Amino acid sequence: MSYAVEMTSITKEFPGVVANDNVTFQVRGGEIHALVGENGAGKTTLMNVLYGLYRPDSGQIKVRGQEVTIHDPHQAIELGVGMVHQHFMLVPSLTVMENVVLGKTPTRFALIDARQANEAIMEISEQYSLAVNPQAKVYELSVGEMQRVEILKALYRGADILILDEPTAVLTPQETTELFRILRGLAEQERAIIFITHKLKEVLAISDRVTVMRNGEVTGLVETRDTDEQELARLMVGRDVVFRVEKSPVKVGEEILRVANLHTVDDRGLPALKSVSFCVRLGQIVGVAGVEGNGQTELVEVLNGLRRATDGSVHYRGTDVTQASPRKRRELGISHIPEDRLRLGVNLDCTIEENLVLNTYYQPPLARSIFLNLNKIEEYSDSLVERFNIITPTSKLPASSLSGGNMQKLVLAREMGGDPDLLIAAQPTRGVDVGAIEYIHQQIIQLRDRGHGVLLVSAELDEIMSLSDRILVMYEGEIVGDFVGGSVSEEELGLYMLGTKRMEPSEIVAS
Amino acid sequence: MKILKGIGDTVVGALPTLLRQVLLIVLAMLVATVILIITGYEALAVYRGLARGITTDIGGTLRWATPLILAGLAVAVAFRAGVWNIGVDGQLYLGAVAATAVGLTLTFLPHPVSLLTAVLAGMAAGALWALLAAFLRVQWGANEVVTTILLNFVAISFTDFLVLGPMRGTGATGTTYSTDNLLEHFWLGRIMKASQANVGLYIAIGLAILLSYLLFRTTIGYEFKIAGTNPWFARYGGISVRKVILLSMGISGAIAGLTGVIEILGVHRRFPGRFSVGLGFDGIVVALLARNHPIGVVVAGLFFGALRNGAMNMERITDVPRAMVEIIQAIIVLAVSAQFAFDIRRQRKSAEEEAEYVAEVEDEMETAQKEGEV
Repeated sequence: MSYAVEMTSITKEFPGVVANDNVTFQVRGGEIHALVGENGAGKTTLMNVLYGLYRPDSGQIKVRGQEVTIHDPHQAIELGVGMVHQHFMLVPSLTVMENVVLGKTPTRFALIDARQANEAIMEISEQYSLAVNPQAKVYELSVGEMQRVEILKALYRGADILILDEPTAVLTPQETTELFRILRGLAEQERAIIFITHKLKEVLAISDRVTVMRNGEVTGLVETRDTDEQELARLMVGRDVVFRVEKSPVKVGEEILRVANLHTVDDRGLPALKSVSFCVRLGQIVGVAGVEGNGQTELVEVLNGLRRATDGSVHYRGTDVTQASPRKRRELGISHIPEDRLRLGVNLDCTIEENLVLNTYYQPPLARSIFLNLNKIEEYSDSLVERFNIITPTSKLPASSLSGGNMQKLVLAREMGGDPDLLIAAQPTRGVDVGAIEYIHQQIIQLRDRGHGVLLVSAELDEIMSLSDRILVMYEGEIVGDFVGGSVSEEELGLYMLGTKRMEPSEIVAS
Repeated sequence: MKILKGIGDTVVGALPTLLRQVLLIVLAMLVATVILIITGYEALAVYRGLARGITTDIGGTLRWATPLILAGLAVAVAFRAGVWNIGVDGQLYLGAVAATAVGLTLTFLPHPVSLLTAVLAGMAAGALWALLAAFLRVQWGANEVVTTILLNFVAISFTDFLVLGPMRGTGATGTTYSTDNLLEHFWLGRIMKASQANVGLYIAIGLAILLSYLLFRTTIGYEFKIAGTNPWFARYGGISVRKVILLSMGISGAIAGLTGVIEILGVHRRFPGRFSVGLGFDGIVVALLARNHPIGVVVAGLFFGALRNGAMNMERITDVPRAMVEIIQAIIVLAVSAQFAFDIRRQRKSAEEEAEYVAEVEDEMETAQKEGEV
């Protein structure tokens, strides 16, 4: 049978790395084809080859049976290949209509023919029930709507082969369901959908077939109905992966963190936290769920002393630390895995060693008054590298030489190496591969089992659901839901995350 | 000795960088030669001047190397901490004028105390002037590049006012204004016959060793590096970026002040108006070529000293103007800055990141193109 896209024996090398090694990838018209693999497995490179951003060193590309050479994205678009990037390529100050027709604008006397453009958009949006208002400005839209605009844009340009790069990373469960409905509709119209992801649940839910990549090679091509999570993970990682984290029952201890009526503002001076109150106990993982941008970032910053609270208080073991400096908090035993790994988590220009001693460099035995003990520093960092299994030839290399998963292990090693009493972990597994996620989850669970407290902020509902002993939901800077871990379904949480449902303040127990 | 071993290690570790820097210099000189040939001057003039500078006139090379090393150290310390002190010139002038003022007024001080007082006064003046810019930065976020440049004008004009007015020497005329000569017990010793090279050279080298220790083996050096490469990361780790800015600027300004002091006490022995011919800015070039490494600054300072002294010799023995050497310097500056840009790209180590970066750029180009079409 003929394929919509047929890439045969694609090889693409970058200095020192073979990003695609003899990769063969075929997509049928009318199917949703998942392309999965860890970060750095070569998925993005392969798709960039198809979209004309890279030229393969060797190999052949056929689109609808015709052999083609794709020089640039314009040519890819002409061939009917459309790409929805992970980071949206929209102009926020323009309307939906203007964004969609950008680059292929119907004109009348050198002006945009708005009537014709609107009609064209309405037609597509009705055909695939992609509900958007063409007159709305893009900055007014929600993330889910922006993604719909991206899809609309691709369709308007005549794409019948649609590449979606990690499309669900920024969506709520409800928005994801909506996206899946749209994708199925597109597939029914005989369009080929390529769905890049590393979330295996979604692969099983939406795709017809799956191509798995590891280290630049294809390690498997399977029919979705014949496979399961275990097999896919094995193909991705090369070994068996434990999904269900083993958790012993909670042995909750005394209260370690108490946040009361906390208020703060974001960088633009708008309210970001509105009267947030909760507490964390020893031996407990408190998960904070929520769509990103609902105050979680600011909450974590206030708790770590990186942002001022405008009102309210933070007590740690009964001491008021609302005004304490970041260093003071660290010395009291509060540790912080930041969400912005490349800016806060690691210093790319410094060595692994220099990164590892950030919290301890000034304390004995690593230093006496201002004098560093370089031997002790080396010993200490080498022991952390070993204990946390950071893969590197030496800790004298710059942190930028580490892979994403190893960078996160570095952060973990630094923040958990000193056995903190309270760990505040923000998006601890963002962008790391399945193997590293498993490892990070185990470390967090172990910390709790040793009787320490954890505040886990994550946009990954799976993570929140499987780790948390207690789940809080944040919406627009407020805590709108409070659940005992395991007592609430993903769908239910989704309703709270979207602000559709909310608890009365009295239902939000503060313990 | 542990310190010496440490320095040995850093020198060996820096060898590849060193080679690259030497290559840069060779390239710059080749380009200059080509320019000489095109403009019809003697092709080997630069080399002849340099050769004389480091053979028969080594004292001249060391005389110029001293302030260049010191100014380079002043710049390097601040740059390491991510603070762009472009104001070494102004700080140097204030240091010089403060030392001169001590020398002219506190004449009763006995020999070693006299020197020490003048040196400390100069360092304090430089440090305070630098701290003013640092304070504006930490308090109101004023960009120190702008403030230090502007404060240069203020400082230099202020010394003009002093030397033309209250501190004016008796024998000075309108065009070559200067203070009176300092008394002999305020002089720094000369170290070579028939040359202005002075013990300031030893001070500069000693200071470079001290700074290597400070930057690589103390918590202060660690904090400078962390804050200098990523201030957000520093703040997250509990390092006070304010403290780093104030401290690094204070040290930088003090060294800049010392540069001026040594020019006065070691070379001029009075304060001639506008005596520094761009030492502060040459210090930036020295620091850049040395990649802000104190020991590298000594090497780069010696090289630029030879170049500057060679330029004077060249003017003496050929008809090539000194401006030609300034061209070489400019080429080196360009090459060093280009190298910076390359380094930043090379830091995107793994090919995957490189690939993503290329994709990003291309996406941006694509978007830009599309917008162009609209």
